[in-house]
Amino acid sequence: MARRKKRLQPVMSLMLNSMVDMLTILLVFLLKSFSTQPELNVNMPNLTLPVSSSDRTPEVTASIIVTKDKIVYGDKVIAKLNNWNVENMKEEEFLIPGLYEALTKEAEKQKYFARLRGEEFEGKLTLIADKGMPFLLLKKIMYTAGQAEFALFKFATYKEEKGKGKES
Amino acid sequence: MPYVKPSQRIKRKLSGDTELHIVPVMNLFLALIPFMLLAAVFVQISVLDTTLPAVGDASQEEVKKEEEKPRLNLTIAITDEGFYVGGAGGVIAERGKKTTVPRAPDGTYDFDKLASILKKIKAKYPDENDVIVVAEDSIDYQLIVSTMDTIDKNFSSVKYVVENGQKKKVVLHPNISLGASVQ
Repeated sequence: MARRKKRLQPVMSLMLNSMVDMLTILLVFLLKSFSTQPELNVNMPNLTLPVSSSDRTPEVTASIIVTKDKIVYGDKVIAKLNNWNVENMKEEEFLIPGLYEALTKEAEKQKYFARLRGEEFEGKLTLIADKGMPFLLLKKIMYTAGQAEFALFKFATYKEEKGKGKES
Repeated sequence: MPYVKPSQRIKRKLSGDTELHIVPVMNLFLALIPFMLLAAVFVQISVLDTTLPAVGDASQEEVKKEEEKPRLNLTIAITDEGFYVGGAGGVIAERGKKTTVPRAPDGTYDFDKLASILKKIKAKYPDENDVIVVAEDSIDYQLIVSTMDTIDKNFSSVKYVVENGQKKKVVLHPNISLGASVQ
């Protein structure tokens, strides 16, 4: 019996349609999560932000970063922390000298730009701090910032997942 | 080119099943996806607003308001034992005692109870929007933030404003100031 062998078709085309579908869905999802809001750089060792359910977005302001072992302003380490105490500083002292200097400079700069634009100096400051920071240190930082004329604080927090979709 | 009669010209038939060239599109997608994955934000960051307690720089309008009626000066103190909710000027002192939300036996802070107290105060003083938060030195940042969060959620005034014929919800967030210390 001569059975005729079916020949393989010479041109094989990959079934790409389903894969394109998948990639499109992925792309749309990623585009959705692509945010245009100003991003805070919180990728630092020893830094875990506290969690809150606030839905207000961060603004572009000067920001102080407080990790478990140091206070950072801009790219500069202002002070080292030892068990949440600022090194080379007495516990009852409130003004953190390095931070005060840096913030005064920043305030002067911002005031100058505000004057050029004809706006008022707002004195906003974002605080990116580890969740374990005690109130004493927070107080010292806020006091120092207050002395440097920054009075509006924005505490950066991780957004709680639970509250999603609740808002109308 | 020599002239060819139209009838003799080679006619290419349109084949019935033209396939889309998906491969270049796929290439594009594949290049885009790693990039988007890198740029994707998986942890959302939000902010909570606070101010330093205003000292002597109140504008004239505010001074006028203050004269009209006593301020509540709602203060929430976070201590090792729990929350103390108090108002200066004897406005809620008529209750006879400080409202206290003690810590639960397992050591956690009772945010639900604080929330219900805040809601009650808000119902009684709907115009009051200032809250002062004070804490003991050892209280950690997460607890302060959670407390502020509770205040923010339960002490906001919700107003409805009609705009272009549409009812719009406006949430007035309370002004939370962080005060200095607890005795």
